[in-house]
Amino acid sequence: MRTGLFVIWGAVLLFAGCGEAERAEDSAAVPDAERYGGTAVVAASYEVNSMNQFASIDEISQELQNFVLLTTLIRYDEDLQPVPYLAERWDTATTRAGLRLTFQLRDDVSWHDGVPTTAHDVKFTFDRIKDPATAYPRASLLALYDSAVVSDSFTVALYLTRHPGFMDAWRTISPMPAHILGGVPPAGLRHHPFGSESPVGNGPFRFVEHRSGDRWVFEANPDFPEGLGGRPYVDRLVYRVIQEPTTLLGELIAGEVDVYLVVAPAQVAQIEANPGTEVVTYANRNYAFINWNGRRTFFQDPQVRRALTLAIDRGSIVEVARQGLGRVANGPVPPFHWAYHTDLEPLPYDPDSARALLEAAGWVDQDGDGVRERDVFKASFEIKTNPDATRQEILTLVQADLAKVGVDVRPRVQESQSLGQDIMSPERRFDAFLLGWRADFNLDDRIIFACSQLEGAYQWASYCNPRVDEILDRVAMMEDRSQALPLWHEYQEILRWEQPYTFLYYDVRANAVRQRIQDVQMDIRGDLLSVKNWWIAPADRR
Amino acid sequence: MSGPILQVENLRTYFHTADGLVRAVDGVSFNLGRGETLGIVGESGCGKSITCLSILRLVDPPGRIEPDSTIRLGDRELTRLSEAAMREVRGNAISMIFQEPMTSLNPVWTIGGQIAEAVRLHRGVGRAEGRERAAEMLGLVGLANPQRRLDDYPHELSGGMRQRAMIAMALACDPDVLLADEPTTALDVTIQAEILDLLCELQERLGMAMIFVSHDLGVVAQIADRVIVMYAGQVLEEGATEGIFSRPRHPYTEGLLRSTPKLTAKLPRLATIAGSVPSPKRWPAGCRFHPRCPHAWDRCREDVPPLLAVDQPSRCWLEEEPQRRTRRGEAGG
Amino acid sequence: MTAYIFRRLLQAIPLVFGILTLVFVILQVAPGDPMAIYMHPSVAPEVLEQMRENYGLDQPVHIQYVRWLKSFLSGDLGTSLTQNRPIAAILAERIPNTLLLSGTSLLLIFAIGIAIGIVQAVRQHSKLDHALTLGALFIYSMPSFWLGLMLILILAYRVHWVEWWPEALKFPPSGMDSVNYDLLSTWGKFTDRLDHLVLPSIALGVSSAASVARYTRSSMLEVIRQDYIRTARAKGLPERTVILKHALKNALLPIITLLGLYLPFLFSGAVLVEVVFAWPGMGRAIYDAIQQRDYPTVMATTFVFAVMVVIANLIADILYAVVDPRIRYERERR
Repeated sequence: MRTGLFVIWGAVLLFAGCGEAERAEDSAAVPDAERYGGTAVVAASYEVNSMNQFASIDEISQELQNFVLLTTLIRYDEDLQPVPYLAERWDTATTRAGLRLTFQLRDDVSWHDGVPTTAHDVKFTFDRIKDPATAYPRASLLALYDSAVVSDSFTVALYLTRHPGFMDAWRTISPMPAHILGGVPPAGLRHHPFGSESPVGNGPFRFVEHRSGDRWVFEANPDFPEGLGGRPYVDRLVYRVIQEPTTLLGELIAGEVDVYLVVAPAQVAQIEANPGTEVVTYANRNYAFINWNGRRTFFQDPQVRRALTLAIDRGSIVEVARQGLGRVANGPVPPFHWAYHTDLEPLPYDPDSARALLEAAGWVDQDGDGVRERDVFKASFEIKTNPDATRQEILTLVQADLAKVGVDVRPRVQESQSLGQDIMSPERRFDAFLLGWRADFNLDDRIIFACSQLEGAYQWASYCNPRVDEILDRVAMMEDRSQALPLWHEYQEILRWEQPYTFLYYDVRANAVRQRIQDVQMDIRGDLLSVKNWWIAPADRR
Repeated sequence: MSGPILQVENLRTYFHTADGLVRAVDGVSFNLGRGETLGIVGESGCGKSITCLSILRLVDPPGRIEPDSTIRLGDRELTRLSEAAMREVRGNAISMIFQEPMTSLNPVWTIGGQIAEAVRLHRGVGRAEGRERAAEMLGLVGLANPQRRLDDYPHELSGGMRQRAMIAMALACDPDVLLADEPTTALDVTIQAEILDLLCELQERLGMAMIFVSHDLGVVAQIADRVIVMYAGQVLEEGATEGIFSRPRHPYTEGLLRSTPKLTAKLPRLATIAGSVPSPKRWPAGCRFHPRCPHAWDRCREDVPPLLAVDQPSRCWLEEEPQRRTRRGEAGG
Repeated sequence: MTAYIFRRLLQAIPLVFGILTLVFVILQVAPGDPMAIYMHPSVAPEVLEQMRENYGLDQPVHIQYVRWLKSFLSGDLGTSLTQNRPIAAILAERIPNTLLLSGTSLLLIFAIGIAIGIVQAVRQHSKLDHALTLGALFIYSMPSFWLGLMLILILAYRVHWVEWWPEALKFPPSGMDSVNYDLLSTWGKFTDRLDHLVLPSIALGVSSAASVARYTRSSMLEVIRQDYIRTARAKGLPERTVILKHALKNALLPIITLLGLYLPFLFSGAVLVEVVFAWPGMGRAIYDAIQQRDYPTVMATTFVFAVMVVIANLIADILYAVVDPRIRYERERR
C-alpha cells in the first residue's frame, strides 16, 4: 500500500515537470513585446478578507497582498533562501543585546499614488505590528524583534534577539503606506477603508475595484521598476469568489476562469480530461491530523495513541478521500522543511499491532459487544470535524478502521465557528477532532506541544514530554542548522512514537490552469508567486 | 310589415356530458316580429335561458347547438356564421341582459368603461366618443348625473342602478333584438316595476324587438305581446298574451297561472303544480309533462304530442281528445 | 391611501424590532465564536483578546445589545467583523444585486406562471393542461439549489462538449457579469447582465412560477364561470379581450396576495441560489455572516430583509387596492 502511494507522489511531481517543459517551448515562439495584454481571471471558493496587512490572516489575502498589490522586503528562492526584493540588500551586525538587521530599500518603488516607498513605511508597519492595540493576528512573527530605526530615507535598522530564521517574517510582511495610514489610531487600522475600498499598494498591480462577494480587479502597474521585473504582462488580474465547486468548475470549463485555486480532489480527473485545462500540483505547507484530547483517560497513554495511528489506514485515506493528493505524514515537520527527517518511515498500517498494543494497555472487549473497555471506561468517543467533504469522508474511513480494532468512533460534523469555539474553550469540549494546519517555514511547535503550554489555547493534545520541551527550546535559538538537525530528527522520532496527534497526511495542492496562461509557476512559496510573469498570447486573449 | 326579425326553427341545444346527453333545448321554434315583445315563461330548468344563450351562440361547452337547428336574424343564418361574424352580431344586432345585476357587471372596471367598450368595438369610435355615448345611454336609462356615474365601479351602485347600467350597455349599439333573461327577478318589487316601465318605454322609443324571459307570469303579462310557454326543453303552448292568460289551453299553462299570486285574490294561498321539473338527462317518454299532469292517460305516456291547433297551438293530446279533461285537474293541487 | 401606508409602516416598527431582538438573542445563544477564523498557533491568544476588545465582544451580552441598539438607532449599522468595513457600504453593494435577481425572478414567476395558468384554464382538461400540471408539480417539488446545480451542470457545463449546441444557449454559470464587463458597450453590458441573470433567476423562480400557475389556473377557472364574463362575451368582445381584460384582472386579485407571500420566500431562496451562482447579493452576505458569526452583519442584513418583507407586503396591499376598486373604496373611507 505504501509503495503505491509513493508512486502516486512521484507521478504528481513528474506531471508538474512535463507542464513546465511544454510551456518553455511555447514561450520561445512569442517575442517578449507581444506578451503584454489580456486579462487573467483567478478564482477560488473563499472570500478575500482584506488588502490590509494588519487585518488579515487568510492565505488568499496574503497572496494578493504580497504578490500582487504590495511588495515584501525579501522573497524566497527555490531553495527557500532569502533573496532581495523591495530591500535590495541587507546586513547583520552583532550588538550587545543581539542583532542589528539593516535593510537597504530600493529607491525606485513608489506607492500607486506616486509617493515613494521609503524606510518610514517599513518603520511604520513594524511599529504598528508591535503595538498590541493593533491586534495584528500574526504579531508572533516579530516576537523577537525589538525596535526599528530609520537612518535615511531608504535605510532602516531593526534590533532583535538572535534567533534562527529571523528573515522569514520579511517574506510575508509587506510594508504599508505610512502617508495614508500613519494618522489612523492602531485599534482603528483594521476597519480602515484601505482594506476593501481604497487599497493603495506599491506592487506590480494596482487596485481597480472591489465588489464584495464577487471580485477584486487589479491592473498592471506600468511604473513597477524594471529591476523587479517591470510592468506585468497581463493588463488586468481579476480574483473571483465562487463558493460552489461545481459552479467554479463550470466557469473554468467555459473559459471564464483561467486559474482555479484549490481544486476539489474529485474534480482533478475531469479537469485533466478537458482539453485546454491542466492541473498543477505541488506539495504545500498543510498537513492534516487528528488531535486526541490528552485530558481524556483513553488518550493519555502513548501506546493507545500509537495503536490508533497503526489502526488507521492512512494510505487509503490519501488515495480515496484525497485522490492521491497527499503523502502519509510521520510528524509535524513537513517534507518541504530543511529539518524534515527523510529516513523516518511513517508508522505502518498494522491493525494487528494496534490490537496488541490496546490489549497491553488494558483495553479489552470484556462484554463481547465489539468495543474495548478498561474498568468502567469504554473505548468509545467522538471525533469532530468541520463541514468539508474531504474531511467528512476521512472521518468515515477512520471510523471504519477503528471499529476493526474494537474502538468505537462517533463522527460529528460541526459547523466551523462553533467547532472553533469548542476547541478553543479552556474546558476543551471535544474528545478528538480532525483538522489541518499550515506549517510555517520557521517552524516552532512549542505552542502546540510544550509542557508550559498545557493550559494554553493551542495545547489541545495536552501532551507533555520534558525531552521534547528541551529540544524545542534549543532548536528555537540554534542558528546553525547542522547542529540543530539531529535535535529536529530526535523530535520527529519521539513524536512518531508518542503520536500526540495522529498525523494523517501532508497536503498536495492541486490548482487548475487554462493553458492559455503561460509561465505559471506555483510552488510552496505561493500560488500567485509568478503572477507578474504570466502572459497570454495575443490570439488567446478575451 | 316585412317578415319576422328573428326566426328560430327546431332549435336543439344538447350538452354532451361525460355522464350522458342533456337535451336542454329540444326542438324549439318561434318567430319574433319587428318591434314585438315575446315572453318566454316556464319554471327554472326548462330551457328558457339556454334558448336565449343559443341565439347568441354563447352556450359553453360541452353544450352545442345541434346541426339542423336554424336561427335566422333577418336574412342571416346565425348557426352558420363564423365566430368573428357572430361577434359582430353580439352586443350589436342582438344584445342580452341578465338576471343578476350584482354579478353581471365586471367589478374591476368602471361602468362607463364597460359600456363604452361595446360601442368602441362595434362602432369603431374613439375613447372620447365611446365615453360620450356611454353617458348618453346612462342618461337614457334614467341614471341621475350620468357623467359622474361613468367613473363609478359597479359596487358603488345599487341593484336597480346596476340593472339600468346593464340595460344601457345592452342598448348602446341600438340592437334589433334585446334578449332580457329574467331582468327583474333579483330586484325588489318596486324596483322591478321601474325597470319594467323602463324597458317598455325604451322598446317603444327605440323600436327594437325583445324576448323577455321570466318565470313570473304577472311580469310577462305586463310586457309581452305574445307568449311562449316552455317546459322540458320544448314549447308547450304559444299565443297572444291575452289568449294565453285568459284561455290557457295546456294543463301546464293552467298550472302556472294558478300558481301566480293575484293581488286581487282574497285568499293568498298559492296553488302549485305537483312534482318538479324532471331531469334533462331523462325526459319522460311521451308527453314530457305527463308525470305531473292531472289529466294524463295512456296515450300521453306513449306518444309525443305535436303542437296542435293553429291560433294558439298547444302540445297536448287534449287538443284531440278534450273529453278527457278531468275535474281533478281543474281543482289543482 | 397615504395615511393608510403611513399607519402600516408605523405598525411594522415594533415587529421589526422584535425580530432584531430575537435574532440578537439567538445569535448569542447559538454556539460559535467570530474570532475562530483566526485560530492558528501563530495567532497568540492575547491577540485574540485584543481583537475581541477592539470589536467590543468582551462586553456582557446586554451591554452589547444596548450598544448595538444605540448605534443602530443613530443610523450606524456598525462594522463587519470579517470584512472589516462598514456594513452600510457592504449593503449598498449587495442590496441592488439581490433586488435585481429577485426582481427578475419575480417578473419571471408572475409572467410565466400567469401565462401558463391562463393557458391551462382556457384549455382546461386538454392534454396540454394535464402535461403542464404534471410539469408544474415536478418543478414545484425541486429544491432551488439543486435545480441551480442541475442548470449549471447542463446549460453551463455539459453543453461545452456538445458541438451542435448554439452559443446563445450556453449560459455563464456564475456571477453578475463577465470579467470584461466595464469594457463593454451599453448594449453589451445589458445583454451580458441578462445572460448572467438567466440561470439564477430560473433556479430561484421556477418553483414559485409553478405554484403561481396552479393558483392562476384555479382562479381563472373560477372567474371564467362568472356572470360578467358571459356579459363580456354577449357584448361581442373577442375571446382574447374577454380573457385578458375581463377575466385576468379579476383572477389576479388572489394572485397579488401571493406576491406578498412570495417575496420573503424569494429572499430566503436567494440565500442558497446566490451561493450556488456566486451572485454577490444580500443572501450570500447573510449566509457568510452567519457562518462566520459576524454578529453586526447578521443583525444589519436581518434588518434589511425584515424591512424588505414589510415593504413587499405593503406593495402587495397597495397593488391589491389598485386592482380591486372595492378595496380601494373601503380604504379611502377608513
